[in-house]
This record gives sequence, structure tokens and C-alpha cells, in this order.
Amino acid sequence: MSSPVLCQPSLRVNSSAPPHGTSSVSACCLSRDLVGVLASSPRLSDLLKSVFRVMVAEVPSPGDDLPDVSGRYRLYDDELLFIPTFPFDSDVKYRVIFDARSLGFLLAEEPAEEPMTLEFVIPSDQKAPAITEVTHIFPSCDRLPENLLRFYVCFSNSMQRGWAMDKISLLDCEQQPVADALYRPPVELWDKTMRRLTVLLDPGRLKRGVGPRHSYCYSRVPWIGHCSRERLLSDRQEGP
Amino acid sequence: MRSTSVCGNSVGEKSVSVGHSRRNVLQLAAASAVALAVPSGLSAASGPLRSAGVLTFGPNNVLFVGDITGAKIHALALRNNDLTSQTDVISGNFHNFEGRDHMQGLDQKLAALFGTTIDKIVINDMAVHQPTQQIFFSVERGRGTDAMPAIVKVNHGKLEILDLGSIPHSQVVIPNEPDSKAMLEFDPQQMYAITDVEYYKGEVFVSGITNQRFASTLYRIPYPFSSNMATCTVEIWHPVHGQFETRAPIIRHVIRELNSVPYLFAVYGCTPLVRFPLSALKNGAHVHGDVIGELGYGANPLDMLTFTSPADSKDYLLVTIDTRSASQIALSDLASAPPEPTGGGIDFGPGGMGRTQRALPIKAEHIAILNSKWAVLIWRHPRTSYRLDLSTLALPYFFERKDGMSEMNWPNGPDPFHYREHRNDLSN
Repeated sequence: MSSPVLCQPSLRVNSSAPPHGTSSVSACCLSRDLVGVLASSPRLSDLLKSVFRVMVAEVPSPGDDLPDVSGRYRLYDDELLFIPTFPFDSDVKYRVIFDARSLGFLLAEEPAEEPMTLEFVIPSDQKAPAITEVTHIFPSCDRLPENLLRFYVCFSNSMQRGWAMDKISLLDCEQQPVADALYRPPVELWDKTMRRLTVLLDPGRLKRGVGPRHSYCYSRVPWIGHCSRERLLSDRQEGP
Repeated sequence: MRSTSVCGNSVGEKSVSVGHSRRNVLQLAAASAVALAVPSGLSAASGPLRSAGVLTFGPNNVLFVGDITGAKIHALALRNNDLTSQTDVISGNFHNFEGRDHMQGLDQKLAALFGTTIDKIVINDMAVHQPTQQIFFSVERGRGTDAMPAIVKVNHGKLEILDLGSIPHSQVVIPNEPDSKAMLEFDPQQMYAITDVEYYKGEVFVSGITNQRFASTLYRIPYPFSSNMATCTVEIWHPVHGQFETRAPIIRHVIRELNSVPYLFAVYGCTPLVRFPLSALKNGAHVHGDVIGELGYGANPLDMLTFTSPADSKDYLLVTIDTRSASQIALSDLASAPPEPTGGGIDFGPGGMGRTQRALPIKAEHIAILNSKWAVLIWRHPRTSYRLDLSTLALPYFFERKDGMSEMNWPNGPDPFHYREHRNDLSN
């Protein structure tokens, strides 16, 4: 046989549940004697508001005579429930006080010498920000013409200006960044939504008779199309 | 199984909600299904409101509420137990122009009562139930699309939230509201969908804007509500802008009879004072208002009301302005005032009746007439700018002596107005 569980009076926060769609707070495991006194009071509402108080704990001027949080009470066999008129606000600290000492002369047993208190905060629903990813790189085919001038890099969310050239590289067959393959325009070429970036290849490396083409040994220049494993790499970034 | 349920914000009122109890009932009261009908995240106290905007009282204790989010005008038929006479509340020393704070830290107290922080409290309007002199506010907890509306009253210095779910109610739809995403250059258009509401002889007059070509609109709605609504589009000549305007709406309006003829007097932003004979407000009409005054450029009207001066027993129009002193104009002059000429160039004014306006020292976010001696206002106290106070100002000068510095405030200073003789004269 199991032994009876002794229930100690306590305060607790009840999470949202139908039908109220809001949290509530309870004074639990109250003695039948105390609940009986409360239930038989001719001025039940006033009495409950004085015995079981819920208030905002952190206020700009605590010396002022601020009202308690508006709400309604429900009285059960051994529990007093407070349901706020408006749902408890997130990230606001509340203080709950249950103090039945004023009813001591009506009770068979003396109430606790100290009031029960509880402070609680309902944290806001913090959703992790969605990770912004590269969704497409165009052209998207495996082989590209060697006179290709631009790529389009598309992102799943709006991006910040100013980071593109540090984060985007052209990799050669050995997965090593190719120096000076990409043209670094003075202004990054984003579309209006900041989700599509135009990446230019240095045209000087394609056009005959200009400096950049002559400054490199032909064999060292990883021409687009000569190596099928060249990759345009974009570091994963998060949106602003 | 059922449980006892006692409303904490309505003394003595008991209700029972079904479906939540787990143990034996101790006490049984009347049944209520309000809690079951409220979607998650809202409050039964909001009742039929989805937002709480402009307020005005009608006959038989009916409180009209403009609800932009719900696109409705609500009529809350307050019962006797929703009202408590406040005629015994002292408003100050009338002779000495010393008002009294009915409540200090109104915004702080509302935040505490609503269980939130002060930055999430918005007071949209204030109205006084004249027979009881009880003060009502339209309040929203929160500033976004999830703001929760409520009507709050003051009962002998304490705030009480009305349980709107239990108050008899009717409503009328305001059609063609601007889409919630439609923007002006700086603000959402919907902010101005319902700018004011006024009751006059069995009709409710609503101003605001629609999504139509001529956006500025006046509705004339029978009360008790019926579908027999008259809709007028409104056009004025705006002297400060030097153009005819059909989109910028009336911001505040009042209806008064002058020489037995009812007129709707309206004030716009930047700040034309306009007259419409009620007889012109017919369904389908495109009405041209007579601009009878230009109160001054760069001003946004906050409230518009009339009062009878205890000094000369004459009636006056009062328009409070956000950026400067309030304007007082004799009501008797408004019927005969000639319209300002149209078609001219830009004129920064003041013009017309604006030239006769008297500047009154009112700095109120909201103001209403409390009784024949006192106005009540919500204002930000100059020495404690962090809080809003609910205070009184004596008519007709709207002057608060204790907030200023003058020779008369010295202990042995002069006393030309006999302040000391009346030091203890408090009145309601």
C-alpha cells in the first residue's frame, strides 16, 4: 500500500491551456479550513484580492500606489486560481503574494507566519533566426564558355552590402582560391531585394592585348572551362 | 463539475466558466460562456472590440467606440452598475485656479493593472459620462497588431476595466477602410480610418478616410444602428496649402445648433476650421465645407469641444493643438463667419476666425469637459515628464496657478486676485 502524500501549501504558475489561452497562477494545497473561510465570505471578491495578490514586480516608481494586476479568481477544494484579465506579458517580472494571516482569527489552525511569495517571468518565444543560404549560382551548367563575364549568386534572404568580395572566391581544381580572377567593383552589384549578387570575372583576363592577360603565364591561368572542377565558393552568411 | 469564479476587476460580480474545473465546486453563481468564446491571446475584457479608438457618449448611457481594426463603431449600452457617480470627487480650488490631480501616474497605474510595462500602454481617447461625471478611457495594451483593447473607467481615484463581454452591445460596419498595408508617406493609412465620432439627435456622425478616390468621408448613421447609412465625401479649400483637398480627413468634429440650425464644425490637420450645415450631409453627396478659419500652419488638432464660460455665460469652441496653445473662438460667431476665399495662393494664416482666436495655456494629450466648472485632462507633468497625470483645469481660463512662478506665490506677496481669502475653497 502506498502511504498518503503530504501536500504543502505552495504557489505555482500554470502554463497556457484551453479554454483560457493564458497562463494563471495558483495557491495550491490550501487547507479545507482556509478554503471554507474564503468561500463563506460575504465579500469574497474583496477578500480574495487582499489575500492573493499578483502585481508587476519591477515598476519605475515603486513608491506609488499602483494597482495589482487585474484578473479573476477561482476557488477549488484546496486551490485558489488567479487568471489575469489580459494574458501575462512576456519578459515582465510578476510577484505573487499569498497572505492569509488576516484570516487567522477565523481559522482552527494558525496560518503560516510568513506569506508565500513567488516571482516569475514568462519568456518571449524566441525563434532562432533562419539561416540564410546560397540558393542558386547561375550559370548553373557544368561547363561554361571561357569568355564568361559574370555569375549571379542568389541568396535565400536579404544580405548586407560590403562583405561580398571577402566571402566569394573562385577555386581551382585543387580547391585553392584563384587570385585576381574576380573583378572587384567599387560598388557591389546587388539587386533591389539584396538577394541577388552579380559577380564579375575580370574582363582583362579575357580580352587580348590588355595588361592582365599578359601579366600571367598562360599555363598558370585557370581559364574558365579548362577545368571542370573549378568552383565558385560563397561562404555561408547570415542576413542582416 | 464547476468552479466558483469571481471577477477581480468588477467588485461583487460573479460568473462561472465551464470546462476547466477539476474538482468539486464550492459555490455556484450565474453561468457565463465568455471565456470560451475568446480566441487565445485576447481577453474577455475586450468583448467585441478589436481596437479601442475615439469615444463619445450618447443618450441612455450609451458609449460609442471607434474600432479601426474591427472596422466598426460599437455602441456599449452601459448598465447602472457599470456607472458610479463621481460628483462627490473634489476637483480643486475653482476660485484660485488650482486644479487637482485625480490621478498621478495614470500610465504607470494602467501598466500595473494590465500586467505590463509602461511602454506598452496607449491611451487613445477620453470621454466623460456627464450625469455621473465618470471618466472613461479607451486603452490598448501593446502597440502592434496584437494590441489588446479595453475600456477603463475611474472610480474615486481607482482604475477599473470594464468587462465588455457582459455589456449589451450593438455595432455597425464602417465600409471601405484602407487596407492595413496601404501607406501614406509616413504612416499607415488605416490610422485615419475613423478619426472621430459624435452623436446628435438619433444619429452618429463618423469622420475618417476610405480606400476610395475621394478618401475623406463623413458617415451619418442612425442609432439604434440600421443599414440606412448616409455616406458623404468631403472637400475643402486648404488655405495653408493653396489647394482643394479631398483625401486629408477631418480630425475632430462637433455638432452644435446655432440660431436653431445644426452645423457640423470640423478641424483638419494644419489647421482649417470648417463648417458644414447638417442639411448638406446627404447620402452620396460630395460636400464642400466652408473654411471659416485657419488656425495656423504646422499644427495637429488633438481635441475639439465646446463649453459655457462661467465668467460670461457665453459658449465657446475649444481646439487643443499638439504644437502650441489651444484655440478658443466664440461659438456665436461661427454661424455667420464668411468662408475664406478659394483659389488663392498659399496663405500660412491665421485667417478668418483664426484671427479672433484666443490662445489658452493648455498642454493636454486629451481633454474633456467634466462639469460646469472644470475640464479634465491627461497631460505629462512638466517636473516629472516620465509620467502622465489625470488633472483638472478651471474654466474658462484653463489656467493652473500652482504650476507657475509669480509674485503672488511669495508668502508676503501681493494678492490682487484674493487667492488667500479663498485658500480653502474646494469644490467638485
